[in-house]
Amino acid sequence: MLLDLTEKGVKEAVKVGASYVDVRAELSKGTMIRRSNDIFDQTSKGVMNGVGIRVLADGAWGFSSTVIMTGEAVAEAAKNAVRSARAVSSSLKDKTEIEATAPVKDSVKTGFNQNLSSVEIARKMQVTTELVKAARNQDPRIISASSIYMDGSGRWAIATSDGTSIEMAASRILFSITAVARSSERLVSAREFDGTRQGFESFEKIDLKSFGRKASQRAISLLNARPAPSGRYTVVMDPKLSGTFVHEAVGHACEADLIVSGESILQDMLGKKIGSDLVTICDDPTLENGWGSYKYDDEGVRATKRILVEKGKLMEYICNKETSAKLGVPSNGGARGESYAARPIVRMSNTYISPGGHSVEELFDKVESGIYAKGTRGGQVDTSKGTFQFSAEEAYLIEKGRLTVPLLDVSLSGMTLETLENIEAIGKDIKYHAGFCGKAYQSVPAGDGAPHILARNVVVGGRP
Amino acid sequence: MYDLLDYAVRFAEQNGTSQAEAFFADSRSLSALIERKEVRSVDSKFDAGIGVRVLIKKREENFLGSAFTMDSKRSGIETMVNEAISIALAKPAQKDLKSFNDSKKVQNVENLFDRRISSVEPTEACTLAKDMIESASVSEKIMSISGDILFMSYKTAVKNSLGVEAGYSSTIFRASCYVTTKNETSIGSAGDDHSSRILDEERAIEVSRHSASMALSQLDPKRIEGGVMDLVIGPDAMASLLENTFAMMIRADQIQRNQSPYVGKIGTPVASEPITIIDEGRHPGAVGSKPYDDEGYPTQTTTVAEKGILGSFLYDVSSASKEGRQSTGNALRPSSGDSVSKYAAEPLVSYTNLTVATGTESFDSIVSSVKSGIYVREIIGAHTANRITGEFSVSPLVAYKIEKGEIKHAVKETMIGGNIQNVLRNVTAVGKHSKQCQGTFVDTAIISPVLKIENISVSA
Repeated sequence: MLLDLTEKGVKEAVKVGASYVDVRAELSKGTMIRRSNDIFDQTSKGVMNGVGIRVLADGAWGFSSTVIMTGEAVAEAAKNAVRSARAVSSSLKDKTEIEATAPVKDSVKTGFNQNLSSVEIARKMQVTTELVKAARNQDPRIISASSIYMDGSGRWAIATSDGTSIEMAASRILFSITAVARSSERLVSAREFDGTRQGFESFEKIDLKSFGRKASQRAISLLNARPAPSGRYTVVMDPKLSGTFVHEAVGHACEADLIVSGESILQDMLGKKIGSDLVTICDDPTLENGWGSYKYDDEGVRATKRILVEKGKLMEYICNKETSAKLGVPSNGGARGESYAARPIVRMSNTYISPGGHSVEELFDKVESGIYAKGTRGGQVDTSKGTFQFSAEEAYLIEKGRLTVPLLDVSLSGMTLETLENIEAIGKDIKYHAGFCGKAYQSVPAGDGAPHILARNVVVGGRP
Repeated sequence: MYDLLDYAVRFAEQNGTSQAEAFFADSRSLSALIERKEVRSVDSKFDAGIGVRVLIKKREENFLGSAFTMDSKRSGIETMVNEAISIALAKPAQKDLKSFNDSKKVQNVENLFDRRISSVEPTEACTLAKDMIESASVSEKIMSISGDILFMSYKTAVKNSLGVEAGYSSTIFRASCYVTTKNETSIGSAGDDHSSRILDEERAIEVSRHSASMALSQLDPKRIEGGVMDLVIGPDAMASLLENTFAMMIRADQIQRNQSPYVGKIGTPVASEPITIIDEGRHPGAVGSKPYDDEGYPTQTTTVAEKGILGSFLYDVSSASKEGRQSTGNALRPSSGDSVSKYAAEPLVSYTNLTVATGTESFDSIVSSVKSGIYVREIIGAHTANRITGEFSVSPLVAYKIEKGEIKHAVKETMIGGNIQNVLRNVTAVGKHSKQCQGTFVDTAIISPVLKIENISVSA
């Protein structure tokens, strides 16, 4: 039924003058549970559905979406989209062109066994209960703990005027725990977050107890932490934080929409050296079981692995149909929309930096005096200037290769090109993590991966 | 619309609930997208859905369940209500919420709806977007102009078993612009945005003009020496900080969870004397204004801090009943972006228009009082702040060095860090003009003047 609606949308839009159309439809269910201490603050289930139609008419884009899942509503949306495109076209000097792609017919199911909507709500609530219990059973200084369980599963369909029609079934679960600790002079908090694209059976393998304990142990250790110093330091980042660094400092600047609009520091840099020889960075939507993996993007293009940086040299951008036409390269399937209701834009999938040859101990041995920063609270980048900022969950002073004093709330910042040059050693312990990435008011799941990394001359922000 | 809500409430009551509350929202939006100095797309969206909460009473205990659907057929509504009932029966008893809102007070807020927004045509949106591009095209150094404008109209309504029926229609107009600049030696960038309930073309044009002049002013930045210095912070940067720290710390639900440094601090100083902060739910024309909150409770003005003394937290019906007091009309079903899908999320406690009251100082007099410091207009990374403790460390995106009372040059590669609690205690001057900034959720705003803050840590 979803595919019928999308194909109907394509037909209707072509009928009223679209030269290209892609239509996406969704029918999904979700669960949201939040538990704080002894209380379930939120426990809710919902049904989501809708259709989004994007057209190219007279060389301009138009988009329209509706929540009404009928042929008439879809036909009306198709007309709206074409009318909008014509309004844009009337004054557009540089007409929009896109790369034509070969048609695909496929049906894709990601690797889940137990359908999430068939799992009783009580079992999902149990996940949050276990997390809170594990976090609270630690220490009387833990004064509060909150946990979240969220899932979504359903079916999606995409059809394009190139003749592509694809159906997808997928599911996603995320869960987190926040522990708050207090001493006479200080309030601190620590959070752990993870996600999976597999089904509810994942919890057979996930140790919720140690996950919850990790958050509270970290909160307790922060009670004795010292405010971070500020200035330029040699920094060792753990895999989670290195992953955020790669995502913010390099991944965003490789998004081709920012390249063609002149809003990336990496414009006109293909084939040029942008960092140390040690640095190889990929964005790979085909990564098995990756949090940000997908087989086809939201333009129906088969996604491929992109080697963004190889041994310090910039090799490839992440492209959609429009930017690949503009840059004269094939699309690598980088178009993603937050939902059927959002225009697909260029996004990352799983971005990672390839492991190097060092053990973690060797990295620390290289540091006479510096900072070890762990965990991530996310970050942000201004790609035009290449200025980025990102924050750690936990940090320590490194003195003569040893971790000494725990530090509070360390944030790091830098300039993309300088920092890539200042990477001095890369560990061999790569790990992947789940996250979300925001751009143009859209949030999509994006994974990242990295080993421990040693970088010199990084700006560390602290407080007096 | 009320028919659907009525059906949901009655169906729930017929199926064993003691109380039911149904919520409806629909939104229509039209937006024009600017990329590469041209209008590139016009998008239109229609979104609608229903949410329901039910209370079931068993052996003098209450059980709460919630569900939503975008399928507004009767069968869709019935499935949703049944889901909410089964959730209620799977949960432990609810101690705090014994009853939904029973306040039936009727009130109105002016300037919430503008017909020019709800009836806008794609061509009109394109024309305004083109005017914005033109206003930003002021120099050969302007490399890129991007942005968008949004015209959105929406309706929300609540109906519950206690006879509450509260709804309103409103509109939102948003304009944002981002400009990059380049000369032989450097790159500059800056953005600005505006949101209001009423269409304001002049402000949209100002947004792009302003973005361009700020991006030009960021060329040839210089490194500065780090240290502890005075900070003059503009409304946008202050709003980002407050949104990600203070706004969470004054929620009564967060206080009750023991997840705020302000637990037990009512009546004590939490900010310096020049600081007064109110939550003003009925400010005419402001984005966070509305006659009723998302439980149908009438909105009001709540004094959060007066002359630095913590006055009140923000409450919804549930957190208020826990303390045996009245809601402050701060229940909000969160939704962000360019649709109002409030039905999809259970209510939480949120500010409406969180407002730092204006003071008496002109911008020039504030700057001239600074011997050595920085003026920060925009920051990146505020969302990485610690929402529970208020610690933050952010990078200024648009910032200038102040020397001997004068703004000098753009500043390169710095970070400012601290704790919002200390920031508020160290405010020594408050500007006399304020700006309304878009808040976290679609119908929230943070309004702040320029502030002078002493003793901020700046890394370089």
